[in-house]
Amino acid sequence: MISTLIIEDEEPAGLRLKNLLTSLDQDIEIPAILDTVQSAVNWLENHPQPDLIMLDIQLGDGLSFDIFRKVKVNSYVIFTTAYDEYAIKAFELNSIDYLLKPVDETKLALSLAKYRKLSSISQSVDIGKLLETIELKNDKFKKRFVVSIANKIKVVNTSEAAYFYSKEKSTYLCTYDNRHYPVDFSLDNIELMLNPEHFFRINRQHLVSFKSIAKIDILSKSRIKIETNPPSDEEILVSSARTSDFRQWLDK
Amino acid sequence: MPNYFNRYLVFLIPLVAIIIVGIFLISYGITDTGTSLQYIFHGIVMTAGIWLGCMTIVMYLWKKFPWEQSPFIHLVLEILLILTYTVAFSSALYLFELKFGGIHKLENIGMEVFTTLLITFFITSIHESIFFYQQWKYNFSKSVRLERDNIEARYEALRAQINPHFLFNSLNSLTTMAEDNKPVVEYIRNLSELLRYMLKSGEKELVLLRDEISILNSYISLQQMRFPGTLHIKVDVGERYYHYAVPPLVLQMLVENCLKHNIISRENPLNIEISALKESITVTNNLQKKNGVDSTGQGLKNIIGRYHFFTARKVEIIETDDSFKVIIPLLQVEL
Repeated sequence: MISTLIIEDEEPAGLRLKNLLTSLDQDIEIPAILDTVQSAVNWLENHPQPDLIMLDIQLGDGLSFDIFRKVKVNSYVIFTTAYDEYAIKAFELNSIDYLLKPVDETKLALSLAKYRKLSSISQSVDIGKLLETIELKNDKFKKRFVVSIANKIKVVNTSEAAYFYSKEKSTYLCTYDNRHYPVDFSLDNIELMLNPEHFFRINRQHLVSFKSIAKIDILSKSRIKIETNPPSDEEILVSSARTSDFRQWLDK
Repeated sequence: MPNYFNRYLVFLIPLVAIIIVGIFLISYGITDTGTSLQYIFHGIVMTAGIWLGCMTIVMYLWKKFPWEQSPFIHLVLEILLILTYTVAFSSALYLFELKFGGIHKLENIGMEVFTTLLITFFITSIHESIFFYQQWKYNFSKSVRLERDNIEARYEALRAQINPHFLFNSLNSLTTMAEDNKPVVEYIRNLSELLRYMLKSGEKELVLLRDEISILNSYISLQQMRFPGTLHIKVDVGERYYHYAVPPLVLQMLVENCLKHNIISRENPLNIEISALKESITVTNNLQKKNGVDSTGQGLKNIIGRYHFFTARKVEIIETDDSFKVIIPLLQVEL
C-alpha cells in the first residue's frame, strides 16, 4: 500500500484529491486529510512517515514549507498550488513534484508514475535544499528582456542592464558594456517588473540599477545629480519628489 | 521632432564633397595641385555650409511650423529661407574665393549661384522626405504603443483586482462540484490554463510556439464546446516549428478575431485552419462576415505593432471574396 497524506485547507478540494488518487491507483490509502501547518506537524510527529504527501502550499495558518522547518519528513512530496508564484519549476527535483490547481487527472497520474519510479530507488527529500531553492528563487521579477537590434532578436539578462531610459516615447535598455537596445515595455511597466532593491526610478526618464551609479553629486537639499557607468548622454537628476526615497534606497 | 543622423554627418559631408570634386577634377582633367586643393576646399565648405544650413532650416520649420498644423507657412518660409540662405552663403563663399584664389571668374558667379540653388532645392527635398519618413514611422510606433499602454493599463487594473489564488481556488472548487461531469471538468481545466497563461503573458515579449500552440488548443477546446459541430478548427503545426518565438497570445487573438467577425451557424459553419510554412504561420478562415460588428482593426493593428518592434518582416493580411488569411512571421531568438 502507498500511504498518502493529504494536506489541503479546502475540504472539497481535499476530497476531490482523495477520489482522484484512489480511482487512479488501487494501492493508495489515505490515512488522513489535514488542513493546517499545525495539524500536519502534530500528525507527522505522532505517526509513521507516509510514502507520499499531497501538499497545498497555501494553508489556513501559513505556508506549508513551515512544516519542514518543524518536523523531519522523508516522504515523496507533491505540492499543489493555485498559482505558481514560487518559481515552482525548481520543485521538479528528485522526490518532489508539483501540480497546479485545478489538478488535472492526467498530470496527477504522471506524478504518481514518477513517484513509483523513484520510490524504488528510495531517496529521501532534501528539504533543506528545497527551502534554499524556494527562498532563493522566490522572486517574481523579470529575469531577461527580449530585444531587437538590426533585425535580430536577442535576449539580454536583467543582470546585464545598467539602466533603462525613455526617449521620444520609446524605452531603451543600456547594458554595462554600453550597448543600447530598444525594449518593448514602457518605463512604468519595467519598474513594476524589476526588483526595487536593485533598480530605482530616478526620474520620469530614467530607471537605474544600484551598481551602475558611479557618482552622486548633491547640488542642494533637493537636487541630486548622478553619473552612471557607462555614462549617459544626458544629465541625470533625481527628481525632487524622489530625493528622500532615493537616499533611503541607497542606504539599503 | 524626428532625429537626424547627426553622428554620421562628420564623415558623410566631406565624403560627398570629395566625391563630387573628384569627379569634377577628373572629368575636367585638372591635375594642378594648387587648383585641386582650392576646389577641394571649395567643395567641402560649400557642401557643409549648404547641407547643415538647409538641415537647420528644415529642422527649425518642422519644429515651429509642423506640416500637419501650418503647411502653407512651412512651404513659403522654406522656399524663402532656403533661397535667401543659399544665395547669401554661396555668394559670400564665391566672393571670398574670388579675392584669395583663382578658380572662379566674376562673370560666372551668377550661373554658379544658380546651379548651387538647384542642388540645394534637391537636397532640401531629400531632407524633407527623410523627415517625413521618420515622422511617419514614429507616429506609427507611437500610436501602437499608446494603444498598447492603454490595454496594458486596463489589464493591470484587472489583474490587481483579481487575486489569482482566489480565482484558481474557485475554479478548483467548481471542479470538485462537477466531479461526475467530465466535460465540465475538462472545460474548467482548459479555462484555468488559458487564464493562467493570460495572467503570466503580460510581462513576456515573446513566447515559444510550443507554449502558444498548447494554449491555443485549450482556447479552441473552450470555443468548440460553445459551438459544437459548427466551428471547425484545424491546427496543423509540426513540432519542428516549436522552437520559434511569437508574441504571446497572438494565435489566440487571431482565432478570436475570426469568431468575432464571422457567422457561425449550422448552415454556415466556420472553418479555421492554422498551418505553418517556412518561417511563418497562416491563419485562414472562410469569410462569412457577421453584420453589426464594429471592425476597428485594433486587434490586427496591435499584432502588427508587436511584430514591428521585433522584425522588418511584415504581417500579411490577404482578404478575398470568400476567405480571410493572416500570415504572421515566426521569429528566431538568438541566445
